[in-house]
Amino acid sequence: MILPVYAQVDLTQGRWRKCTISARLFEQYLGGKALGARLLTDLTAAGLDPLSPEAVLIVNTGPMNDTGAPSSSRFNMTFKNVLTGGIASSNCGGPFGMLLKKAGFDGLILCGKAPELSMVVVEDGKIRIEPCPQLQGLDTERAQAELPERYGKLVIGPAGENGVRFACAASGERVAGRCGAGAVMGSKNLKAVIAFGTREVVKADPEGFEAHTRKWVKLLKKHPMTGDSLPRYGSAGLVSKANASGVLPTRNFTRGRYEHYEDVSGETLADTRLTRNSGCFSCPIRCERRVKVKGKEVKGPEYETLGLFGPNLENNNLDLINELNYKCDLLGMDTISLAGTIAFAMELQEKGMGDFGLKPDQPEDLLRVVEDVAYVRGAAGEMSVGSKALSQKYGGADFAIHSKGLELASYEPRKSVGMGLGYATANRGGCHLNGGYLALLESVGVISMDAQTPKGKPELTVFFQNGMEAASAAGFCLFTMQAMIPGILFKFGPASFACRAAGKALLAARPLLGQIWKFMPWIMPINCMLVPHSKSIALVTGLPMTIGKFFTVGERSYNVERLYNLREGLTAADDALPGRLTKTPQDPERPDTVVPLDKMLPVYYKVRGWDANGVPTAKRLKHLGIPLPEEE
Amino acid sequence: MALVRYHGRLADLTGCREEELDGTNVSRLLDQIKKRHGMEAGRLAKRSHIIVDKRSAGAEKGFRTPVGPDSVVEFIPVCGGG
Repeated sequence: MILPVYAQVDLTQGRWRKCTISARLFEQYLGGKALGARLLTDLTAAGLDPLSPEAVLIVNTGPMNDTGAPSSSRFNMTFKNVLTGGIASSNCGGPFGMLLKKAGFDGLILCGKAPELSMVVVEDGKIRIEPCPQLQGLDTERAQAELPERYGKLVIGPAGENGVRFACAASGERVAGRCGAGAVMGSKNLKAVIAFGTREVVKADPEGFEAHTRKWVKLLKKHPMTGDSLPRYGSAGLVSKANASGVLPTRNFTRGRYEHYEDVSGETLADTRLTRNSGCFSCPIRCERRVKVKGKEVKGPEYETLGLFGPNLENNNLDLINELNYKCDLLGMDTISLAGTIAFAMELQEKGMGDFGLKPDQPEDLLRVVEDVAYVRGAAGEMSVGSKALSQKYGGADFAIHSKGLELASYEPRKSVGMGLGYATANRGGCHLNGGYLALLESVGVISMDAQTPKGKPELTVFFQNGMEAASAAGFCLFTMQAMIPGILFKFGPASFACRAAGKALLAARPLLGQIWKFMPWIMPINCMLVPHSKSIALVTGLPMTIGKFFTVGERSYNVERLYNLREGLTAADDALPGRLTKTPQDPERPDTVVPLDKMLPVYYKVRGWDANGVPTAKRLKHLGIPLPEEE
Repeated sequence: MALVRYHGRLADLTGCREEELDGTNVSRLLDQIKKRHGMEAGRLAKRSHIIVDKRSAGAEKGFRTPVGPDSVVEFIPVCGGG
């Protein structure tokens, strides 16, 4: 078995050393966010300021990166969350991960602070730190253009240099968007990390892997979701159904429907603005939208950006959204957190609780606002701290739409209550993917499930949170998980008996789903094409990976992240949503259109094997092979 | 007559974004669509999210969901993402 090789880089001292991950850690955590959480816990003391030199930034890949497995080019950044104070992981499909691996490293552990603006150069098994004053102030596109072409690049824009708390890092046109990775790099005077090499991944069973990959790619291309709707509409295709289901956040999550939704829908984008679709390396899905902004072809917005810069700000100007999306990428800011914070600030301003120089009747002014936030200047610059910190200063906690400090994604959870539970329990804060993404079952997908019932939602949330955690750990794109929904259901249609029965069956399976974690990984000691990920991992690494073990990696990771959060002072009280979503019905005539967190959280904790305070029990930690916090 | 609205590829196949159709439930509307616009349009309509008066037919009575003369029925493509 070939074990992952990491480099510990001390930016203060300008030194680095190679280290190898033990076989036990590799088998338990694989890589990516799971291994990142373990390493961050082990390598840092509690209570650090996430922007201090002592804070650690882990940039790593999973075992599947650069193998040619479908949709396996995602790399990860793990660090202390700048917005929540808990764990952060941020994922990106840019070329950097692949080239980091080719350069001979599976991950970098960066600590300290460079004395001047610098970049880390990783090349053929060696690392050097170079000053890069010439890159100061450059946007992510220009900074990458200034660097030698052959390298995989990870850079920050002005927002990261200026300490904007939701600054992101970019690789190519893709970004590691959430939680403030760019701010952490900026705090370390780290403008860029670049990598080049020619090493090939050695696979345990190359022939078996090739055959399995061919089969999997065929499956993805044939599946209605990954083979048709995602390439055709991208995630932007969700706008219309989200609106119809009442989950399209509108006017700072006051409503779930927007009268002009068609102006910003995925269909409109595809019909009127799309130049072509594209995708990450080795991805057969190709969900990326390409659009023109001022005559230049750039990456188009995803569903989250459309929803939050569109309906949530009552803005139906699609060209403006495309431009805002591009501008955020250039300046290096997370569109979800930024747009969410602007919506909150607009409401504060409207209520006379603060003045951020916003002009809600002039959407074009948002271009100026975005720039002011990135440069932390003027009244709008105050928004650079995010919704939570803004609400602590100006009030309005009930309508500051975040969980733990991370702004919610573009699903209004009062009409998708399982998604609400996911937001509240996601370890990195209000994230739809880390939260299990139940909106796909409840509101926007092919399965027709009761979106308002709390029953069964905790069990399903745990299941999907663990599955997606494991996929991320390996380096897979989460969209590959969507092909787990049987393709035959799409042929029947969401109104069919089959899709309605599937929704009911999943909810009815809750006693089983609630118990399976006690018996994982033994109850699924197999590999099959329903979850092709596990066999793919086994064929590359030689690990005895099965579906059961794959899901256990996810569960283990979720628990380690939870322990990190608890260590950093977060508690069950932080598994929360703003009052607007838990107390005020979206539909005044339907009292059930709130997120009943009080009903779902106790069940969720029980299914996870945590106590009533949301603390993992010693028994569950032992089952997962996680050392108890006091033993560490 | 119910107002029927088409999204995505279905709008291309039917050649219109909306039209008025007769039918007392979703199943009858699907028959009408197939008759007017052909098999492919009928097949795609059946596979769409069908929203009757802002409520998903999947969450109501499926293809037997009633449609009134003043109903607005939308056919939205099934998409994925996250």
